[in-house]
Order: sequence, then C-alpha cells, then structure tokens
Amino acid sequence: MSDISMTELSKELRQAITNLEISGDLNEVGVVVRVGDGVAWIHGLRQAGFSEVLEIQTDAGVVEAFALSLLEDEIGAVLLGSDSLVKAGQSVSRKGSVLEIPVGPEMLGRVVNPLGQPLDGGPAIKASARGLVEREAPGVMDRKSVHEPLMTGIMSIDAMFPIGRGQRELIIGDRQTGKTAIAIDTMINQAKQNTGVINVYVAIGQKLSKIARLVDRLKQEGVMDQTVVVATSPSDPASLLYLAPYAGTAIGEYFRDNSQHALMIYDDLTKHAVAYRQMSLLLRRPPGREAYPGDVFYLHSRLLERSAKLSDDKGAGSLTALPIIETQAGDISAYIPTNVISITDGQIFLETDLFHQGIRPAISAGLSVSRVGGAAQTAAVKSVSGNLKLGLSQFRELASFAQFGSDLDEATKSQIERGQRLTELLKQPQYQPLSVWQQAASILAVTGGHFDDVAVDKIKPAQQDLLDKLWSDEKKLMTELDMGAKPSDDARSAITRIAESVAKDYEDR
Amino acid sequence: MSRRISRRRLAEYVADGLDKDHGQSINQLAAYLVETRRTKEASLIVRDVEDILAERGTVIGSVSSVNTLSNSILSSIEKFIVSQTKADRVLLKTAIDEELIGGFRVRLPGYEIDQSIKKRLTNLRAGLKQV
Repeated sequence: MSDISMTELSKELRQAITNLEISGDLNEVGVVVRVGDGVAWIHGLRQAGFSEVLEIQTDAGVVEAFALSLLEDEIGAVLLGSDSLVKAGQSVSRKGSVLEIPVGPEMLGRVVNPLGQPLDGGPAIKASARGLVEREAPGVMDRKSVHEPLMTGIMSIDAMFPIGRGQRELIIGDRQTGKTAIAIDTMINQAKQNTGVINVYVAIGQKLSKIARLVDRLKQEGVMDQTVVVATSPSDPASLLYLAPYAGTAIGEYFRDNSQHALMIYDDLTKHAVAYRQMSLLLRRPPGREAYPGDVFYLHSRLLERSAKLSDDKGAGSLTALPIIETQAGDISAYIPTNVISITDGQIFLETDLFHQGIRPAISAGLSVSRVGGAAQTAAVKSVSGNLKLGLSQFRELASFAQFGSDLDEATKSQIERGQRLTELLKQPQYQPLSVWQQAASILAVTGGHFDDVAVDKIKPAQQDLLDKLWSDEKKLMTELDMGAKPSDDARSAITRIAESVAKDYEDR
Repeated sequence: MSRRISRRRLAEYVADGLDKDHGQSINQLAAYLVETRRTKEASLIVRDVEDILAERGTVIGSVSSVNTLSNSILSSIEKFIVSQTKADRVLLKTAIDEELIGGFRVRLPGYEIDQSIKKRLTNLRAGLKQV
C-alpha cells in the first residue's frame, strides 16, 4: 500500500472516469458462438486481422483473446484469461491492435507473466515503453556478424563451443541432465564478470516451485537486478505458454535496440511446441507429423530469428538466445529437436550417461558444436584450447576401446591419461562460473602437460591451488589476462612455473 | 459426401431470394438444414442474412431501453444510423430491457451503439480493476 501514492491513485481514478465517456460511434461487434478448452468461436467481426486482440464482454469484465483462425463463417480466438467466464452469446469487440507488453528498464528484477503483469507481488509495472509481442526480425542490412564473446563461465563451453553475442546456441538433452543449470550459470556469470548483459529467462510451463527456487538463487547470487523472468506454469492456459517466448523476446529486444546486450533463455521450447500443438488441434488445423501443425517450424524460426547482433548504424546491440530442448532417451532426430537444431547456430548436447558418471556439465564433445562462436572466442581461451575438442572426442573413443584390453602402445596410453585429466579438469560445480584468466590458466596447465604426473582424482584440488597461487603471486599478470587478450610470454611462463610447483605437491608417491 | 456449404454462402442465397420469392428460398434453406443436420445454425444464418442485407442498403436492427422511447428519439436514432451506415432503409424493432438500468442500446448487423448505464458501470468496473 505504501508503494501507491494517493495523489497518483486519485489521478488514475479520474482518468478512468473520464474514459467512461462512451463514443457515439458505431462499434463493430461480434458474438461468441461457442467456447471451450481455451478457444472461443466468434461470429461477426469480419474486419478483424490475424493475431488481433479481441475483447469479450463478460459479467466479470473484459476477457481478452487473440484471433488465430480467420474462417469464412467464424473466428477462432484463443483466450488469454479463464474460459469459465466466457459464455455463448456474449458480445466481442476488436481492440484494434496486436498484443503488446510493457518493456524497458522498469522490468528488471521483476517476475511477470507473458502479458507483462507482475507475479512477484510487487507494485504494478509502469514501463515507459511497450513492445510488440509478434515483431519482424531485423533485416540483413541491420545485422553484423557475431564477433563479441558471451562468456558462460563454464570452461568446457567457453573453450570448446564458444558463444558469441547475437548467436543462437541450443542446449539439448534428456530430462535431468543439467540443461537449466547451464543457463543459470551463464546468467550468474554475466553478473560476476560484470558484462552488463541483461538476462531474460522465459519459463514455459515450468513448475512454479522450480521458478521460485530459480528466482531465489538469482537473488542470492545478485543477478536478479539485471534479470527479467517471464513465467508460465503448467496450470496456465496454452495461449500463455505459446505467448511466453515472444513476450520475453519483446522485453529483450528493447535492450538490443537501445545499444545494450541481452541474453534470452527459453526453458523450454519442447513445451512451447506442445502448447502450440494443443492450440492448433483445438482450432481444428490439420495435424502433421507427431500431430504438430504444418507451421511448427515457423513457430520457432520466427522466434529465434529475432536474436541478432545489430550493425553499428543500429546501435550495435545484441540479443543472444539459449533455447532449451528436452529429448526423449537421447533421440535428437525427433521432429522438434531436428527443427530447432537446424534453426540455431550450434548445439550443446548433454548426455545422461556422462551425467551419471559424474562428468558435469555432461557435455558431449562429439555431438556439440558452435557454428559461429569461433570468431567471437576470447583470444586468451582460444590460444590455449586449440585441439581441446578433438582431443577430448578422441579420448572418449579410445577410452571405450581401452575397456576391452590393456595392451596399448605408449602414445595411446598417454593420450588416454591426458584425456582423463582433461575430463576431470572440465568438471565444474554448479553456480561457480570461472573467469577468463581462471579458464586459460587451468587449461594451459593440463594441455601443457604440467599436470601429467598428478593423480586424476587430485586434478581439481591441484587446479584450485594453482588458481589461488596465481592470484596471490601474479595478480597483475592475471588481471591483464582476464581482459581477454592472448597470454603474454610472462603470463605463460608464470602459469607454467606455478603449475609445475603445484604439480610436485600432488605427484603420485 | 457432399461438400459443406458455408453459412455465408447460404445467407447470400437466401438474401438473393428475398427480392423474388422469399417463401421458396426459406423453404429450401430449411430443407437443406434439416437434411444436413445443421438446424442449430439457423439463428447464425439469419444474422448472416442481416449482414448481407445491411451491405446492400437495408439495415435491420433493434433498440432496447428501460422505458418506451418517444417517436422523436427513435427518428433521431434512425437518422444517425443512416448517416453512419449509408443505408437506404432502416428497420428498427424496439424492446424493453430493464437490465440496461438506463439509456439505450442499438444493435445492428455487426455493429452496436451502447449508451446504457449498465455499459458505463461495466466500464467503470474494468477501469477500477486496472487502477
């Protein structure tokens, strides 16, 4: 109550009363013919446009819907509120606009639904700007190639599958393989490294308890101030689940168009496709493969195309997307996964087996790829992680062969041993993203062979010791390295020297 | 199985027939609706016929109010409708609707003018909810 100024309330009330003046013009109206399952069929309103917002006059006030099926005899409109309020015979009018939501810096730190209404119990959002939920993606001339890094703080991603600002990188894997964890760590890293990137997390049909835990964690880590959460739960109507990623993108686009950088996380697009399938079937559109409608590819392509790196003329802002897709039993050749894989600029594939072996993040080096991020990789990390991906893929293949016999030549043995140490190094606990210098120094210590004599189970403590000593003894060099430039000779020799001395403490005795 | 004819098409057929022998076209429509088990759509087809007639210059509407409206008010409403729709002919039915509390409401094919107290109260409620 204290947040509401009485003067403001009185001003708004007066405005509301002024708005009561009914215009003497003819209003175009239709009538609800039937309603059910979140869809209202409307007779009349022949001038209504596709995706236009319609207002249904119910006894409890106006319920909004948007027109998705424009047929010869009637309009199929998906309700944005409860269908229990809507009855046959109620009159419907056109709002005259497509759906838009509040956008701008006022949204930061808030949890909202896809209509921009707060869900966090905070005051009403008074945003100065509004953004269209459905909007065209920037054209060819408005874009620039991806060239700035977006550090996730996860060593295996930043070293092997780097992500650039404006890139679309899919996170794909079975349930409980750590997909959301990667997204959360990436958001936390933006705050820890002070990158200035705004996070927009879109929860599509996620359990409210999970969203509450996520928001709590983001608050704990001090990330919430630069984050907007667009939340929908499984109990929300399919229309809200369908709108959520578009609404989130509208919020992110505000920052992109104002020369800032935003990171979109869509958790997850599988549920989004399912919500759209439900709507399409109820709107009686013909079902196709797996009962999805024919335009399910366009559903995601038009969404992800809005993520872009803008040209300097357009302010050089960027919108990076990390869509998440859940697979069934690791099947990445199913309909929705293949669609989204083909739309995005690469994917991070998480494997259940790796997860259960304790390799977390459970990233598959063989199936993951980043198609455009190489150009955006930080020079510091790039210079030390040259053959990391290839080496790790070869190691996993060799390791599976090595299970059948112990008669291996020296070269293979050393490759396996190096691979084991590398795998151990790339294990990273949740909520602990690493900075550029930490990643570069850790990778250099292992790929340079300085930890070859350290037992595999002691790699993590040795890494921690190395980082602690480097920070205490060579803070200046490491701060320079953290800027992202290629490590200087001094930095390399300092890392080598300290790595060798640390390794001695952990050598097998 | 024959192709389903849209309500709009059926309404156009009936509207065309009204100028000639309207009894025959209505009987034909009734027979068609019974045969195709679409009798529930009769009221919607009537609405469509009204829409088509309005497009052709004949507006059929209704005026609801709490009290009986005087002839002068009705004639003003008729003039207003003519000016807004460019209709050649306006046919208005009157009805008493106490739910309106006060004022009046005119319903035309596809359009509406609601000057009732009920509407104002609904708007007030919606406005206050927003505040």
